[in-house]
Amino acid sequence: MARWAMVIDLRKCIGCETCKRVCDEVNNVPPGVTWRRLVDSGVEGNPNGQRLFLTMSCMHCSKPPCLEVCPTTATYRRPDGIVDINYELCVGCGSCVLACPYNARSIPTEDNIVLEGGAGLENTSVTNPDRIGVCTKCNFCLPRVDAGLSQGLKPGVDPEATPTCVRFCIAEALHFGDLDDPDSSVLRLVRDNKTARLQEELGTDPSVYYILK
Amino acid sequence: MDEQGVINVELISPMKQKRWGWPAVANFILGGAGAGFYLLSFLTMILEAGTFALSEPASFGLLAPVLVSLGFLALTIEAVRPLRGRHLFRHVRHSWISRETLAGAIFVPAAVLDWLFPHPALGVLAVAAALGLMISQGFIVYRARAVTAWNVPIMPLLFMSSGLASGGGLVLLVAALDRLPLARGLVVIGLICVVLNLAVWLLYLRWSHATPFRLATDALCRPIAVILTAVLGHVVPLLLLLLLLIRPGVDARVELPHVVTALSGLAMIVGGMSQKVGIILAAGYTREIALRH
Repeated sequence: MARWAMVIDLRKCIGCETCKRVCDEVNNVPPGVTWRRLVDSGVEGNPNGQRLFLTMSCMHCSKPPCLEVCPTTATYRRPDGIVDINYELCVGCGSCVLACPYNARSIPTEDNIVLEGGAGLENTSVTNPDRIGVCTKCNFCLPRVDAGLSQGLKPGVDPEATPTCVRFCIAEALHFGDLDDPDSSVLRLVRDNKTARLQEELGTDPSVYYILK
Repeated sequence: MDEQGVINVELISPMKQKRWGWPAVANFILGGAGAGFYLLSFLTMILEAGTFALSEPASFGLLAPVLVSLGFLALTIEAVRPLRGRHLFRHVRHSWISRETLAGAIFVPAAVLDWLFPHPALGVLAVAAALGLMISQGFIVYRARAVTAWNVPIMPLLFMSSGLASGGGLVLLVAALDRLPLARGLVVIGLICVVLNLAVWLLYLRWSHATPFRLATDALCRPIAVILTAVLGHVVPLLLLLLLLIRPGVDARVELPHVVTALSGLAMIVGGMSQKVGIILAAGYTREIALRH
């Protein structure tokens, strides 16, 4: 069984926000919420004088605090480590939002209407009413990963099976792959570089690693 | 860089949580007070058989389940998809919200049935559920890992003591309004609740010297909060109850000044409410997100 992880090379990230924008667009992220954000640390905050652009989303923790508080089991963790939400079960109580120390979850109150095929071509609106009033967050582009796997593709290697933010990162700062695969780029990057994970002291064991230098 | 050479880059500063507002506060106040009221009424009944006999129908016998129900009703405003409430029982093994819902679902019918058809078994069941409800509420708040001032181990104890103080205040208020003969045991229980809650509250405020916790709980130490929570909610009822207790001629069945009793009860309720409002709304700051390397 795979153990999906993301490695973000902060030495390469230029803060262009492409990852956030493609994420918003591909996942039809409702207005007012975000699955992926970009934080600019500035220079003053970093004693090394290095300006860090840090892209953040759900950390797909091995011990997710959001999972244990969810009263409906809407939040669940797959054997491959991806933490996802069953929208049909979520009551929108917000307990997971307050349990997540990464501020990665939000509950949209309005829908995002997208005109398929572009304006003027075909006025078919694509709405996700099932996502209104329930918790949403990054799911490592689960549908793409699963679809890719079913076609024999390798997530993190084949673009069609790779999370959109990773696929479209113009600086190649984002990497995705299986930590249990000895040939995967993410394992190599984690092994060969000094990495850090956010809020490690909370014992959440996140699956997103940051390369610093 | 700290003494160990660890570099700490702050990425996202603490922000006030906006997810839980007044409906959640109402649930914590009403649920805690209702459960505390039922527990203390039951205890008083055992200590002073007949004074607050839950085995006999009383005009206030429905008060606790009504309060708890109103608390849950308030939550339907907070939860965006309340019609899916049936799913709330799916995670009783781990989720304290599931446990709170289960406790409430047992408490309300058990207490109502006990009021309609008094039976010790129903009373005991309702007491156990009320206890479960109070504990669950504290753990719900404690499990909010993202909120600095909530994620402290003393939180369940604080919710217990606060619920008992509010419930004790309600017992005193109801006793005064009903002009029931007030027993010494009732006053002593009220006193214990006030002292315990004040001690736990002070312990909570001094729980951590870490800057994020101090900043988050700063609002709870401001003059208005101190006046409402510590002075009005604890010191005033403490003095009034002591006055009732040391008043010459008080024995188990002597009628006590109902105005003083009612004021003590009211002050205790205000103190409990002020604590919950303060914790949820004023001290609800999220944890700083920082990169440490």
